[in-house]
Amino acid sequence: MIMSNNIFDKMTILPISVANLNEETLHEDTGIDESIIIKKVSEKIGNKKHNRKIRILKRTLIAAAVCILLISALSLPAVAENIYALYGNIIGGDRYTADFESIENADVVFHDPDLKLDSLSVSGNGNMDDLIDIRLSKKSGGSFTGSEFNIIKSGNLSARFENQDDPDPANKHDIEVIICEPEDNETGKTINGFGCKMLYDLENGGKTLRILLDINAMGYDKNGKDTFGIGLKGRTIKIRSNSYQLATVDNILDNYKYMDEKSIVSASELQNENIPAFPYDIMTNSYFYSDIVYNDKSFDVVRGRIKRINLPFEITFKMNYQPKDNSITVSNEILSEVFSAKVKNGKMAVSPLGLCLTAETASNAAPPDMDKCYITTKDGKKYFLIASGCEYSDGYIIMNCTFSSIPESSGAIYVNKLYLIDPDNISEIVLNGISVYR
Amino acid sequence: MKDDKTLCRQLRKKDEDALEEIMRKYIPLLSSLIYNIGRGKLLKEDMEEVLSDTFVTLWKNSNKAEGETLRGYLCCIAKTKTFDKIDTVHNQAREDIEESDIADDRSLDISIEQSELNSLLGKIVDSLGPPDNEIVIRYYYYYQRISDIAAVMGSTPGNIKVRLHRSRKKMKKLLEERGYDYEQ
Repeated sequence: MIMSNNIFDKMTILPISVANLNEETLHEDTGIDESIIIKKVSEKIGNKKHNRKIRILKRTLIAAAVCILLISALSLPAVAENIYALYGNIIGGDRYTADFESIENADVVFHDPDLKLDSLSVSGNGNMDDLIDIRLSKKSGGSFTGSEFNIIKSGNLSARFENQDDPDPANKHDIEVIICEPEDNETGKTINGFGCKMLYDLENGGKTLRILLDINAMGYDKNGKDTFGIGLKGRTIKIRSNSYQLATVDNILDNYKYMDEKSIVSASELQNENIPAFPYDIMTNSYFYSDIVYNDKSFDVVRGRIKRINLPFEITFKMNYQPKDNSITVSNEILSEVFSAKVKNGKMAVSPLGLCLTAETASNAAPPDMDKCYITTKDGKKYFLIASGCEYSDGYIIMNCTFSSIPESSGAIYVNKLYLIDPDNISEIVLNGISVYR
Repeated sequence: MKDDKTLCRQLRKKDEDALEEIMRKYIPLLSSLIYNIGRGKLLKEDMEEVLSDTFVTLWKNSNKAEGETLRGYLCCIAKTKTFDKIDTVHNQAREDIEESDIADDRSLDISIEQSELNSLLGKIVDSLGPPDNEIVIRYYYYYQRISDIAAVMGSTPGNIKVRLHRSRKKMKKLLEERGYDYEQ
């Protein structure tokens, strides 16, 4: 047996003269991960705290699931009627989640002998174009009864639930998992434009809650590919990163933990009286910022599902890569309110401006006078506004604007609210020839 | 960060938060110690195992944890466990049945004789004076390499070796004078 004969090995109190030895000078780069050790020790001692947390989480999730189902039953009478009916049959059960290597070839049958299913979600990392949305609906008479969802395009994955213990055919349920591509609610056309947009109807007490997810086509990677996408899956927000992997709301929450409180963008007031015709109660813009920010007071998320939505809310998604163009986000409020949303780790300073601007203008406004709209950075450079795309919506133009070092076009921009992400880099912003931020 | 005394008091009440805080505080030191002893003999995974076992042992013996001696106590456990692990890895004969329990007992068994020796050693090391006292502790207590000691103390490895040699002779003499038959 190898035993040390070092007489110092059992010394538990260091000699007085060296008791205050600087420990840091003893440290080696061992490559040992502290978190692994803590986890191992926790496992070995049977971490009660951890178990207790799991128990609490479990209870919370069960309670939340019940709440969701009750809320669903009460507040989604029209659009989610079939889903609602489905929930009625499967309330109180487990959550089923399936992950597929390739969604295209997925052929899976979920078997729930007790017919106690509270939700089923399907996700995959295959061809993401086919995974814009997946919905469950009850199949009846060979046709979809959940087709009220206007984004439904195709269904090539099915799941069947039946209660083997119950021979009554009435208790058998065919459930179709529908893989959808986004379609315009009104025209039926797949939305392209400057990104992928999706409209959802979530009936809420008779009041339509529409969510526009603006997946900005300006989100290029260095190869010029559009790398960012957001999907709103029912009431579950999913984010696709440039690696085409799904991230869930849980990831947003994880990211959020690292955000400075100041970086939380305040909830927009898109429902206020100034914009009565604005068709979307919630507008969520996604741009290429360096992290993800959202207003956590606006909705609660339980395990990737939104438990409650308090209107209005706004989510600003931030990306990890440098934008191709410089831009600033302008929303539809008073321009004098300049919000600072600076990211804690300073990753925002990705470009001279590091910003993206979306300006909403009245539809009857003349096009922006581009050479009178510019941003001056602290190093004295001017960046002129160029419009990269716009969309007319019920009296408003939602315009994505970028700033370039070359002035283009002319007109007037009508902006109401300006979000500045990294104001430290900017000395002045001029819109329509008027200095609005200095 | 709480002091060791408070942490030990909480640990004795089986407070897992206290254990975690102790871990965060001492993992850098203990991992270095284990690394110094196990370098070339143990894999990283083995060292991680030793390190986690060290804290598990502390947890099991939390009633013996005292604030004043916590660091030394942990070092003591870590060293014993490292040597045990080296022993195990090298497949040497081992009669112990329940490795961890016995190892725990052994690592914590500070006899009266050992206690007296520790006290004496402390005095002897103190008597060496700087920088020899520090060199001895770094080398024999923390198992730091001579080259690293030289770098930290702004000296040369050769000089450190010479000083260690002299210190050893001096300590041996002093120990023998007090009836200890010390063999290097």
